[in-house]
Amino acid sequence: MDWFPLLLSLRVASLATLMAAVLGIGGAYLLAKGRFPGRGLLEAVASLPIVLPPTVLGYYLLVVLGARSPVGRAWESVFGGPLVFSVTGAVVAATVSALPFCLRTARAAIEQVDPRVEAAARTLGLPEWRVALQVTLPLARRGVIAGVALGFARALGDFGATVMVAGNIPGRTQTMPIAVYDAVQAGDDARAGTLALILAVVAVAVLLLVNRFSRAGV
Amino acid sequence: MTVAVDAVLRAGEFVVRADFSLTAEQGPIVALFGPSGSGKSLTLALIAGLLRPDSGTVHLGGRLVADAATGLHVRTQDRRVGMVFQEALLLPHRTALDNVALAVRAGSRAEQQERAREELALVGAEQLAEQHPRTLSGGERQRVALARALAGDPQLLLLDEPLSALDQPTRIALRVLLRERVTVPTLLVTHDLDEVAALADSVVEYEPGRTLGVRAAR
Repeated sequence: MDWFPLLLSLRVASLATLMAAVLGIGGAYLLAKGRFPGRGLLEAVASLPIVLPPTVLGYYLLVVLGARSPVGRAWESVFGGPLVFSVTGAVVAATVSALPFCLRTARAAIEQVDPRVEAAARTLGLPEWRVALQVTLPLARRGVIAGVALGFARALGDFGATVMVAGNIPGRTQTMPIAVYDAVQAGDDARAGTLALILAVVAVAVLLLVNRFSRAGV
Repeated sequence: MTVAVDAVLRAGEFVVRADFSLTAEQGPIVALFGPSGSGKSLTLALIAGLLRPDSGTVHLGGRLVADAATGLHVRTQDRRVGMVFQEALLLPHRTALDNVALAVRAGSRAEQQERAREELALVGAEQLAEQHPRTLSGGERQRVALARALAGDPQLLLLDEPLSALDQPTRIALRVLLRERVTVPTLLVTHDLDEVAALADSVVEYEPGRTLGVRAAR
């Protein structure tokens, strides 16, 4: 049994979840608290990965990050290799896929925090960043954790965007969901079954975790 | 500290016109007294900087802190006010001691904790230091909230019906505490004549939607 896809998937999903969590929680805070022009558009764009077919999402990422795009060329001149068809490309695809789950769930949780408790914190002299870090986010932590867990599940399971951006290179960019597809294509039922079972178990574990943290109470 | 308010504030359908000025000699405790819904709490939120006036100005200690005409708005954090609300609004994820220490503005963490312990002792709540707010009674929470408001060395203490959610014996015990403990200039929102008689040195009278004037309480 070749464990490379499992290890790669865990690595890609962990990095992607970390990035999606930072961007998603920060973005959620801005969207929940900020009043600025283009807010609605920003939220819509950040939520696109939920509604777009993953392959379409991957296609656009390929357009934006590909070797001939300004981003792709800048990346190549700095790092000496293309961003697409690499592990980094897989991380970017998984990050974008996971982002809306982190962002939307965290935003809902942040909006549920009692604004009077935040007001009370301001009367204590806490600057806004401390109100955010010591009051709002701790009070919203259940929703924030649930969102990050959902993001992780999404990042781990992404097929379409990843295969478009990072390709299907066994031993290099072949993540678990892609390996399942490959195994089925090759008629290797045992391998497909094992990989699918692992993904399913992780998905169930994440849902149990999310349900635990989504329950009411602080 | 002198407080001078000459402002109109709108909150939804509700409009309050607050026009009064107070000097230190009229304190330390000045009651904002009138029927429920006359705009007393909104006035307090205006003074704290939690709301902005729709027209007019607010001066604290001779300093202009809000001016609707120019858009000037000194942040709550920079007004040096302490505030206690009808509900204690303690941070539920922190102990009583941590809640109070959060308000201490200077010193190392150990010094802040030490000061917080002193403040808790002054309100008769030193034994509650390690407890979380959910394990405290309503009266205990308000004691901690008072210690927290005073720990920031406010120049003005704002009490928004802090005793109205408490049962009669607890209310009387806390009245005694407030009378003993409060030496900083204080504005107390209340609709309870007994409270005015027990605590206030002066009274700002309200009728629905506006202030009528300032009189001595005794």
